[in-house]
Amino acid sequence: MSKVSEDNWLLFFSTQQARRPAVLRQLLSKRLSNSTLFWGMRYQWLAYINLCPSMDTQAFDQQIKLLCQQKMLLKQDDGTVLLTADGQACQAQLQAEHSLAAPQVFANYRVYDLVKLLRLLVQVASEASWKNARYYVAVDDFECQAVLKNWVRAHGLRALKEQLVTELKKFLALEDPQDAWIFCSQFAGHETVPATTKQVAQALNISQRAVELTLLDLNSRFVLELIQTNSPLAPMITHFQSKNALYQKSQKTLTLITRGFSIPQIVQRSQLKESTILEHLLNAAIFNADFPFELFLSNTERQLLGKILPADIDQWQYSMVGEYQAKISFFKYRLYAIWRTREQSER
Amino acid sequence: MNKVNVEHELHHFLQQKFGFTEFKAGQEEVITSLLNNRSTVAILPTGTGKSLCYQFFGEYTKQPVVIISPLLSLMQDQVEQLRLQGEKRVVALNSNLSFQDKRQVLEQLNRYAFIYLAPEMLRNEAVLAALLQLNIGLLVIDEAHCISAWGPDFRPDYLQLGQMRHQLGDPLTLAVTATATKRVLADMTKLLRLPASFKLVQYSVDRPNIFLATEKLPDEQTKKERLLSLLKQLPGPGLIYFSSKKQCDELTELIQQKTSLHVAAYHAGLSFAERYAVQQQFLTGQLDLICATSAFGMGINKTDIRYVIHYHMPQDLENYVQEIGRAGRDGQQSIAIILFNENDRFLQKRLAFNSLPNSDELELYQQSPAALKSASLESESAYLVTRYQQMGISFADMEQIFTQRRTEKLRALQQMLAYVNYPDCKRNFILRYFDEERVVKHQQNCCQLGEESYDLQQIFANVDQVTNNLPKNTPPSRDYRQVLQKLFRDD
Ligand SMILES: [Zn+2]
Repeated sequence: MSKVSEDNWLLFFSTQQARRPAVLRQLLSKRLSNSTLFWGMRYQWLAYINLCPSMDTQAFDQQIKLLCQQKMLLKQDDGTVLLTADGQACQAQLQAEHSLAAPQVFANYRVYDLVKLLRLLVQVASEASWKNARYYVAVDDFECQAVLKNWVRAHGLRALKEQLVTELKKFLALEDPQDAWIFCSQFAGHETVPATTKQVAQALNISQRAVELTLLDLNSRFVLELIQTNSPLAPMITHFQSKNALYQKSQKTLTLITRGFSIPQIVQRSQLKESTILEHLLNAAIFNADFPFELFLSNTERQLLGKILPADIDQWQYSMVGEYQAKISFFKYRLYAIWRTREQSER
Repeated sequence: MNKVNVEHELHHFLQQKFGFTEFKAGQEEVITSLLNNRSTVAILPTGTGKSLCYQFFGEYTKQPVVIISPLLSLMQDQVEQLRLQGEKRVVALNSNLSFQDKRQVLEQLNRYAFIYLAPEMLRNEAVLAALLQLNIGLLVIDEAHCISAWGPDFRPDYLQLGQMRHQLGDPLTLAVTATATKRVLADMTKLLRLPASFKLVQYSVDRPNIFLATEKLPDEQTKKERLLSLLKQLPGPGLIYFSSKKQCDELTELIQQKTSLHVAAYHAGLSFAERYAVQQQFLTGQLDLICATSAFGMGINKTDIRYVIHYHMPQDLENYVQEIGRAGRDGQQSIAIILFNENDRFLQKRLAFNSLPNSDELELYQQSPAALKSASLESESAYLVTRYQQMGISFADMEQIFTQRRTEKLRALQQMLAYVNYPDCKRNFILRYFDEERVVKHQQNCCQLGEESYDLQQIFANVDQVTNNLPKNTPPSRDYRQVLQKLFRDD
């Protein structure tokens, strides 16, 4: 099955900015705290949330260690790492191979289940078009089968095939022909046996990693297109939308704020601790480009923080706020860091 | 109805429902016995279509059949086989199902005609309750030898099956296995609490069309060279078994580099999609051979496999006989070869023993549940202790079971070694091991006596070589438009 292989970790590091591998691990496997999200924002990794939901975290740490031993990464005293010159060369090679054009799909949808669903749709539609009912089902997933069954009950097998063929042709016509072939090589269907990623890699004389990434890229963009164009097939895709509790909670708190509620009022209403509400707001500040920073940070506070904190945001620590901590809470301090990061990236 | 009429009707049903004109050895006996409401133990060699027996019963009597199956891959395979035959009312209840899916299946359990269950699912009360609501026509215990601690594949989960069977109201039961010694058979009937009137249907493990050979090789390098030279001479398709995933992958690479054969690896390290791809490629002739570990999808139904090579000596004759049983199901001449090196015995001993906790470990785990908990994540033997605990087995009983298991594994391994070193007819060695009274007369194309050389040309003299010289399947088109065209018929 397509997966993101360990060589790819190099793609995430920089020769300029020292980055913390643990943040990457937490983001990729969707173990999110506000601190993870903040540093994810600083490192520009937020698009990659949930890319590897079932990642073996111990193996990840081992792989990073190995990349350090191979002198691809250089470990700093504070636990961050920098990309070395060798690592950079390797990274350039990786970037040339293939990349994910729509990684954000992974944060919002269970892409790995959707890959299975697509394979099932293709096989069922294919065999149906040849009027064959006896075949080995290539996908052993109960949920996918149930979702498909529901759709077919409402629309019929013929519509499935027609819709699917139309969408596939439309989508693939705009892709590189080799990528399109890689995408199709995963499908089982009438008198069609899928190839393993290894076999595809050997046939094309490219790396298995490149094949896997191509598959993930095209699969994720294909489902995205089905959703964005409001395809009749889209309801099957949206069934696999991730339950993004974190995001929803943040949005809810933000809505209350914009409707004029104060933080103590929200605390009372929601029966949550103040610290939880503040964390929701920090998350909302990271997720929303139009977050109302001015409601929480006055101009004086911004000027003060601008004066006491160094230019490189990555070096900031709350302790640097020193004697002003009574006036500037951690919440305000972090919010200011988010605001500054946003300002920088907009420039 | 008289006997002749019944026979006629069964044949008619077989033809109509399954498209076969003949029953295979043992099938009719088993089915008749079940239709006479007698619980049955069927010891039938691999490839004789044991599953047809209970499928037939279910379709014929229109009663639900519940099948307990020990391995996930095996279960998936059987479910697929049934679906392939057009039976859609089939479901597998195992750890692959999410909580919600499981609940959904349980609520509608009476919609299914064939219900496959992993043994551990029976501990789930909701499952048991749902099963009790069904009017079970037949309870099938697949791989029933797993219940015996004397057998090589003992599964503690199976120990409770007798009690479960009773809780389900002692339904009509079919216990099936490919091999069982007398001792294992006695254990099976006792532990499953089968009625004394049960019927035994047993067919010989002997497969006369499989030539048996074992070769001793001094070192790894010679072994590799011998394997490559064999592959160049043998008619295909074939299977090679390995004891480790790592070597399985390495040798796959080597074969790819050194021969023109189309080969792929197949083991538990592959995803479902990859296993599916390799299996289908093998079935459709795109691959000449598969390198596998024992995890290889057991139900694979390819009839023309000409050779099965064991690159390492297997752990026991039970598994060996099952694995070589995949060869020559079409009745044509085939061959089974073990490539043995002295190191194999240590490898197997280690594999056999590492999976069982010793008394020191048991004592530690008993004293420190925390140690057990953390060890369970990494060590197979600690995990086993946890599982036993969950089943309510005491540490004292565990100690006893594990000692017995060690003794048994060692004994099985010694028998395997004896087989490899046996100077006389290997076929008779196997028959004796499985307590069969029959003795076969050694003849040409039977087996390799001792270490005498054998002539592959002569063994396969009568095999149609045409199959082997078929042009390789043309590689799939590199044009995605053609792939789509092939997949979907234009209206
Ligand atoms: Zn012989």
